[in-house]
Amino acid sequence: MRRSILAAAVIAASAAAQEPPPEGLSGVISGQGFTKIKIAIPEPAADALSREAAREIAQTVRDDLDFSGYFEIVDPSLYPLTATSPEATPAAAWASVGAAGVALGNVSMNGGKVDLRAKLLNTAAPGTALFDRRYGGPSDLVRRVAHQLADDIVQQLTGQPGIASTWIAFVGKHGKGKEIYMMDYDGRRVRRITTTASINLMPTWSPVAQRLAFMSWRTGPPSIDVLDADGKVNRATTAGGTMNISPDWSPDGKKIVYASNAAGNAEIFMLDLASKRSTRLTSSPAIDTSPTFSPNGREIAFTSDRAGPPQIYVMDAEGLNVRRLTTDGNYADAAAWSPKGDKIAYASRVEGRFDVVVLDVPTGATTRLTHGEGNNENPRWSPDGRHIVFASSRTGGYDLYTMRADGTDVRRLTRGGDAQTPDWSHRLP
Amino acid sequence: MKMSRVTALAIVAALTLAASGCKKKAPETVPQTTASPTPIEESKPADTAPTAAEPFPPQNVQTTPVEQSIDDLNRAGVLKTIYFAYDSNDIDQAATAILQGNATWLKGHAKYNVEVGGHCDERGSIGYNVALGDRRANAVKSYLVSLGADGSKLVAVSYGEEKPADPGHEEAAFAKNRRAEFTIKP
Repeated sequence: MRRSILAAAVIAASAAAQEPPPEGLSGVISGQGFTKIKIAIPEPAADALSREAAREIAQTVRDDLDFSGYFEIVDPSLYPLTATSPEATPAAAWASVGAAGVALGNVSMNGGKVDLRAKLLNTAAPGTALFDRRYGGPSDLVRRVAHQLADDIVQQLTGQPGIASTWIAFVGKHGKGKEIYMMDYDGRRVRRITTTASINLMPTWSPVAQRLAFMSWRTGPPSIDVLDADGKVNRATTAGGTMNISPDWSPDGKKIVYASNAAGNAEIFMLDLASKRSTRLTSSPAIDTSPTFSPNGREIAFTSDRAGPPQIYVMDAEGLNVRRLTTDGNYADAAAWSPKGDKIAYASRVEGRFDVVVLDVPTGATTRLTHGEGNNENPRWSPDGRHIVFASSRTGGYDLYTMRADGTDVRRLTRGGDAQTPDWSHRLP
Repeated sequence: MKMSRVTALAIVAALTLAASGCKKKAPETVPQTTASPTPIEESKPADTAPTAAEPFPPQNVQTTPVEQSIDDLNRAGVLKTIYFAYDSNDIDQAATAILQGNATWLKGHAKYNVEVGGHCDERGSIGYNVALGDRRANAVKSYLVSLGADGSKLVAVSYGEEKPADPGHEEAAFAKNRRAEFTIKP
């Protein structure tokens, strides 16, 4: 891939200073069983040439806010009533259709660029806008402009960062091989980013930069490649042997933990990227693989068949203090820590089918999130820890789906029947 | 029995020729008899010592072993695939016999680099299967080395579940996919 994956990143040009959320709105979502915030997202005003972009922006923002789970979108069929309502201010008109907040904007598509100005209003206190910002970028970034606006609305009204601007990297079939792809978190704007005519698997985002590590057969034995923000692929210097697989980044992005057969059979190694030196962390005649860092960097979860079928184990980041984590099912793999580190999602096989299970780390209690519809594998968390992306064969071939962290609100992202091993990008400062 | 390398190659070459070369069709048209036969030259009287009518002593046919291309060797399947039980890297009796044959060939063709590809069926997870395929490939490599094959010419490469021999989703396909496969490399 030649185009920078950073190209899409910086689009928001903030105009007005951010104001603290008013009591009436931010208070709505605190506590258990919160009430969703009712919000109206009308199409931004636009000239004839920009009408299509305006429609797409409005629909994308509505979808993003709905996905977030914090909002209830006021039915767009009510919006025309605001034009004829007798209220004194536009904001009061929006309040009359039930909206606590409304995002008003105008958009133009000129000179190959999208230019959106959007104001967020609290309909109960319409004196000043909660924010007033311009968003711009190349005209093919209309959806990302909308995602950025949605994230700003989430941030403003909930105090939580949104996830609409994140990406999902994954593996898809291409010709006879499998290449690395990425898409927006909602499954749109799918792009293939490797061309190896070979097999590539398990892309993983660096927590601190636009970098992807993944395993590749492009030169023969499976090895670890790193795709950098400049679009260049570099081979990681691993311990040797003929198998170096399943990379994961340390939270500071300076190390890669992986599995290698450099010492004979599959063991966990840690690569320090600066010194290019690898340290061996495990030593057992069994398979030790699929390592993943805890978010605080102090522990590593991994898969081992040292006690029979593969199960998830945890050790300190130095390789000491190994203890078994999973005991359910007859086969567990693909551990993923939640961003807070309090939960570990993994794939557990019972009666021949994989389901996504979440283990509560402090108590060890497990919750099955999927229920035997095909195989459900390779779960990864959204950066806010409120959603999980996973691969499922419930319709035959493997496609990617998201669900809430409690297993509800399952949404299908891909429809090719050939998408696997997703990873959700982190939010970058 | 130990065949010399040349003999072994000759046999392989001959077998390949037998398999592929013997079916050339005879030309279907009958040669026409020419209307005016070519005049026959009159034989001159022999003014030197008579020579044998046929070359003498009779020449043996010269055989040079034809180097088979690596593609030909791989196509011919000179190194046979072996199969594994579920989640196992044990080399069973059937596999033992096949690997003994493979080891014999390898010892007779020591110049070739050979990849031992370890494969799994699709039932495990993608990540673990790569490690399992590696364990299979290395078990096979170790056994071949114990039989005298040159370990420095053998590379064990796992493909996990990524290259099924049979794309099916039932046990018959799974059994064909749990395998170690040999590829002669340039």
